[in-house]
Amino acid sequence: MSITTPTLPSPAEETARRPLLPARRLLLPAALALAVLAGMVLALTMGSSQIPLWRALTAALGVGEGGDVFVVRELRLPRILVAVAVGGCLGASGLLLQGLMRNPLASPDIVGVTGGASLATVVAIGAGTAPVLLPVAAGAGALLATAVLHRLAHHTGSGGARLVLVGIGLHAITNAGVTLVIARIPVDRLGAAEVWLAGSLHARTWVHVTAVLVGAAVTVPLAFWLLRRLGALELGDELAVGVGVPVTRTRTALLVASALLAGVAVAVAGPIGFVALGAPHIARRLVGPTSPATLATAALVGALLVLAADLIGQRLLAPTALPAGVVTAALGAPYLLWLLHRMGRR
Amino acid sequence: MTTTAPPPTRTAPERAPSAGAGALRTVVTPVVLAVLLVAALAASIAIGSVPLPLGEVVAALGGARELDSHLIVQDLRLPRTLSGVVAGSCLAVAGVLLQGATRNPLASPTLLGITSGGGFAVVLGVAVLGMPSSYAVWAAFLGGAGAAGLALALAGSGRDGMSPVRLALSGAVISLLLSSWTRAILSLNETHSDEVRHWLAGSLAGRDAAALPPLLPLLLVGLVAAVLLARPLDALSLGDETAVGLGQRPGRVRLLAGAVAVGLSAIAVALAGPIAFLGLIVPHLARFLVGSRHRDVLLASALLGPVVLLTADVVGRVVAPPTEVQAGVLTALIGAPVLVRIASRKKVGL
Repeated sequence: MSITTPTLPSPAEETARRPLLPARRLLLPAALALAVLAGMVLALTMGSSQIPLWRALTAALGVGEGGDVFVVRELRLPRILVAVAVGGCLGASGLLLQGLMRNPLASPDIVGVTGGASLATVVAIGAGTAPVLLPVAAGAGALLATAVLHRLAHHTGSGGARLVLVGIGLHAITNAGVTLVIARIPVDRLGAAEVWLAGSLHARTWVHVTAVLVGAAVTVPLAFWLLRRLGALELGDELAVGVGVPVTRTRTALLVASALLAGVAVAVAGPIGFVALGAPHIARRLVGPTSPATLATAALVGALLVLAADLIGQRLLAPTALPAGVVTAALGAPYLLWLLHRMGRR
Repeated sequence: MTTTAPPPTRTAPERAPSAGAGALRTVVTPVVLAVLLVAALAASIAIGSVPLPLGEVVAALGGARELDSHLIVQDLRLPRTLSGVVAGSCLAVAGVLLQGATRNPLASPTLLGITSGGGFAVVLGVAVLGMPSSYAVWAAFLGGAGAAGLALALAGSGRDGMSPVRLALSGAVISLLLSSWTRAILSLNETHSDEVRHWLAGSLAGRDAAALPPLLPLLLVGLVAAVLLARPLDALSLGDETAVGLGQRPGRVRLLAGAVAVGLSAIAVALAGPIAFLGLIVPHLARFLVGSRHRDVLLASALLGPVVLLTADVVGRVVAPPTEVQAGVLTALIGAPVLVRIASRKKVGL
């Protein structure tokens, strides 16, 4: 008996939700985009020193006191942009993988995809790779992990708890690998690896912004382009073939897109857990089954989550700063528990 | 939902050797394992980050604590090795008990959340509540029991009952939850971090010789209880109805076996931190070697657990000099693929 997915509505549910106003599908992402923008502006003013809103905004444009301009443009703005881009990539990656595996728990951070990216990234850091190239390494690691998972899913069937358990095993292997590699990293590169591993957005610079934006510019359009076909795949392989979608090729392409999105995010921000799990669920609840609006919503919710987690981590117990990854994990893990409970109820 | 793939063409052959060969195997294997254990003990005492000639190590064992080498062997390597023996045995025996009680090949201290529950409770107690670390074993017992209870409740809440995979998944998710909370506590509390983080990764390094003796009576109770549970667990493996027919009370046997397993895991956690996957792989390896009778499996596991853990520890000392890799990292590296393999096998029902 395989466990059906709670977040993907059954056909009956889907027809019930169908008369969703197209306006809402457009308005929701727009409203979320505004919320993200507002969050970014708010984040510009917050930090170890409070800068009033107007001064922060002008400083972002390079006008104002030298101190303000430095803090806003060199410290806060890169960090905020990285948070938004990373969150967006994670949300989109999770939506694709969960939809593809038809399993709400099969998110990249649970089943070992981000683990593969982490392993590849620490290896690359240990080898002294420039930060700009890290997304390439992380993407390759994520692809490899996805390929292994996909191969194992072939044996287990993709729908059930079994695949998630296999993925958790995969995640444990990559985690152990990361620790092993860290132990062998030359001392002069150890600092960079450890900061990265904490899942922290601390000390992100414009190099990281460039890296993540270039990565996102490649992967996000790819995800949107492939999304039309994901809807068909979610109906089941036979129906997908029926409506003329080449199943195997589409699935491979979607897996690649999901892995690359996760890799880009992991490369610049380290392992930030539970965003790729939660954001797609929230998006589906807000706008219903898979559509471009769902993907946009998942990405925006992801951005909002990472931005919020970073602000909470910075301000909650100031002057002690918590890495964003610790905040998302501490808050996201109970959600995972609840999800598992609900998965059994269906 | 699509239907599952067709059944696998190849099923694992049941291990039912002829009686004579089986008897020989159950006698010879423990002897071989005991020899291996002695070898692992010797390696653990002889090999380390400070290279010492073998003669000096032997002299240091009975030495008068005059030279550095005497101190290294007596204060560092010996406690570490003994801790490894105890922790390895405890986790392996706990794994056998849990797998027997739940009749689930995936049940183990790691996959029921027992080790990370224990780790969480110890960190909470020591880093937040200021508990002295000599109480660690009791905190680990409470934490482990709580986590296992939660995993069982969560797995049982499903509509289709408690399937093996669902139980393991519930435990794994609870492990994830507790270890992320442990990390959060640690990043708030910088004073304890380095030492505790090392311990949390499952390490035998820096074991205090004084930590071991208070745990020995508990260890003895646990091991004796495990031996007494061997026959009831054999009966349980024939199915609940048969077990009742044989005069056993399945519910009580399960509860007892679970409690003993949690207690043994707590000893291991207090000594070496939450060492991952050892309790999963060793029972499988032991069953492969000596068949499925619990008495034999318990004995073989109790010998094999320390062999695996000490080997992992010794490899960890030499693999990345000058730093050490915690034994728990290496056991995870061997054990997680075993999880992947068992979970992706069709034989385990969903």
